[in-house]
Amino acid sequence: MVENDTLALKTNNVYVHYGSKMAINNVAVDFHKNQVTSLIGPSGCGKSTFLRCLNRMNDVIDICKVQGEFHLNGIDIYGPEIQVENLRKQVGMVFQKPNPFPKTIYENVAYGPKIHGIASTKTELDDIVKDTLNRAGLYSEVKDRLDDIATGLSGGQQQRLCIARAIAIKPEIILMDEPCSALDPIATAVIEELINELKENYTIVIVTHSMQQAARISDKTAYFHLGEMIEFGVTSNIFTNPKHEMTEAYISGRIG
Amino acid sequence: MTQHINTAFDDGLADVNKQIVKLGALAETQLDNSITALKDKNIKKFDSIIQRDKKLDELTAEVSSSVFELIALWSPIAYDLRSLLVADRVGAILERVGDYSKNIARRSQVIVTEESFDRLPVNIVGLGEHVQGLLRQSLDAYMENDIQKAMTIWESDIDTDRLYLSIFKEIVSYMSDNPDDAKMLTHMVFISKNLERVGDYTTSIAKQTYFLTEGEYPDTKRPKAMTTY
Repeated sequence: MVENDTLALKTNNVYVHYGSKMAINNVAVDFHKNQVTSLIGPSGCGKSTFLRCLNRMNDVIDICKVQGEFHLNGIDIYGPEIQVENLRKQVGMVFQKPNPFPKTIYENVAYGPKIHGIASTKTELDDIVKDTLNRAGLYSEVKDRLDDIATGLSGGQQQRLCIARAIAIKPEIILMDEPCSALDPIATAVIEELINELKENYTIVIVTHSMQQAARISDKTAYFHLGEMIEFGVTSNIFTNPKHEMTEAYISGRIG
Repeated sequence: MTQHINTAFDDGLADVNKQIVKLGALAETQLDNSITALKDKNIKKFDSIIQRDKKLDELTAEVSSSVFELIALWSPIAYDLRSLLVADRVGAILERVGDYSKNIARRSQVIVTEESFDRLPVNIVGLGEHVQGLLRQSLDAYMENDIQKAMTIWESDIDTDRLYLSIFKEIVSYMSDNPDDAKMLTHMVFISKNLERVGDYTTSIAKQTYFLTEGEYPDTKRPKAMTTY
């Protein structure tokens, strides 16, 4: 595990309601810099809802009410002075299904840096696109067809392009919501290796239904059940000797 | 521990446990036979012990193979993984117990025909019966997942050490007065040492039982009565 105890994102007393239905009940998780944290639990346990709170993706759902503390480098991300666009630049997101823009590979990566004013010249933008695709482990596969439409790439390549799109605007945190669920084992292994490399520069929070994936790639794991966080700890402890019976039952596929 | 949603893994684990029960029963029988054959000077029994050791090896291989297959097919974690790792380790321990029983039988074959054998005052059979009791209790503790019982065995190894030490000293003392019996007495030292090692292995089973339930090893050092004999 990466030895870095610096906090990237601190959450505390988090409650989320969809109308009158409670989706998250008093959750607190600390996310440390340069670590991968997995959120696991059965469908409907609130792990994706919680993930989406971390870059205010739930803001667009009218009936969703989020309460609690969310401090990114000590700053309240739900504070009145926070601009959501800027927050999402700092906290990027990769979704379950690869969703490249129906544009060229180059434009997919260049779009973020362009609108956030990260590149001032075409040469600078070219360098960012090349560097980002390299860091996403995709450049060697697409360097001769940067002007091809991105939707022509394979599923695994599209997902790596989405990761490239997320890191092109230099976020601090990358949220991933089941990023490999639509991929074959080889494409999954490539993404997992990429996540392992990316954590040198980013903090990663990933929702996954694959216990083995959580065990392979994350430093810390949080187990959610019915909106509550049942157990949070070092991944190797969670998967070898969980302290809570509910965690043991879930990860072992037992009747809880 | 509740059953799995997909019960096929439970069935596989139950099969491994049945194999271990069978292996444990055979290892106990081999040890018991080696001790009673020594007590009764039963030459025929020694041969059957030596022959039957192959069966113990086969059963151990079956346990390993089943464990390997379950790990490969199910990728178990937490308690499930510990169950399989411990089953494999206990299987290997029982196979070693069988090896020691066979070695006791081989050495006993040589010494029971010696004319001076009956005159020896040493109580090897007593050590054997003590170790036999430990083996039975350690297997019970493992099968019943009983940590208290396991820790009692873990702590009682000092008694085995003391019994062995006393026998060792008696043999050495007897040897200086009866140098002509040196060969027989050396075999007796080895037989006693084999029994003492079986005692050590019963504490290993106890340690594995603790690990199976707690997910970590006992943090106390096993009490020992000697280090160099």
